[in-house]
Amino acid sequence: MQNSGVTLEAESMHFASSKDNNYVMATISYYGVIEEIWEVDYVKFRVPIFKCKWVDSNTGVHVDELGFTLVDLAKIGYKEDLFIMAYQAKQVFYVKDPSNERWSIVIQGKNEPDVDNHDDSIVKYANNSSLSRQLPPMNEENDVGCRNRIMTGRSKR
Amino acid sequence: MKAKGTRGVRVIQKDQQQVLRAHLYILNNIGDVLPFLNEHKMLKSVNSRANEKSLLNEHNKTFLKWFKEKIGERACDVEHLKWLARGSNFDVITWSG
Repeated sequence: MQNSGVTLEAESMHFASSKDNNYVMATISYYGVIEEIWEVDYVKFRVPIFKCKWVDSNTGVHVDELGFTLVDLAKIGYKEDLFIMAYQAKQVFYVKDPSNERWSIVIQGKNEPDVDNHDDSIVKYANNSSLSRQLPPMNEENDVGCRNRIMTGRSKR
Repeated sequence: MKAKGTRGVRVIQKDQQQVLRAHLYILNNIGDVLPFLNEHKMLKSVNSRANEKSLLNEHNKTFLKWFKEKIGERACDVEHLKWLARGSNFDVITWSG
């Protein structure tokens, strides 16, 4: 569990409702935990994929006023869509929020393996940010209205 | 899956539905397959008034079979597409640690 946090940026179709034909494409980050590692066998080669549990982006993910991304690992969604290619995954760590046990803070791990240093007991945190890439709004009042929640019909393409 | 403190590789026969879903996902994420995905989507949308979402469902349901036939009839010269089109083994190698 400790080392199996993953995140994936994916472009998805967002539908306002099931009857909506005017979907918009948007890129959002999904957060999950690897459940199983598979190598799918095509006789001549194998393709590594991860079977994951994904946190529902509508109810289980939010960015707090300090810019931390918080996830509720009990809010599982996308049960039809478990797999990702191993190369698409980025490792993240989840740390329980001491002030609210329900939420875990996402700590962004190192994205590229460090070629000079194969000792994985040393993890450099200096360049890592647990903050989301999106900075917290400087002017709360003006910003709140802009954050519309939209329903997602997800497809990871 | 609970961590047992051992690392191991196992070959497990997985639920067929799940393997097919994994197979479809893999095809959707391999660049060379993209032209076929687009072609099939086009075929599905011609003469159809179904909305975007149900077209996508239909496409996902029928693509594997169509892709297999398509690659078969063309005597495809791209080696890995042939193997991809034939489909994966239902025995999956899994790793636990």
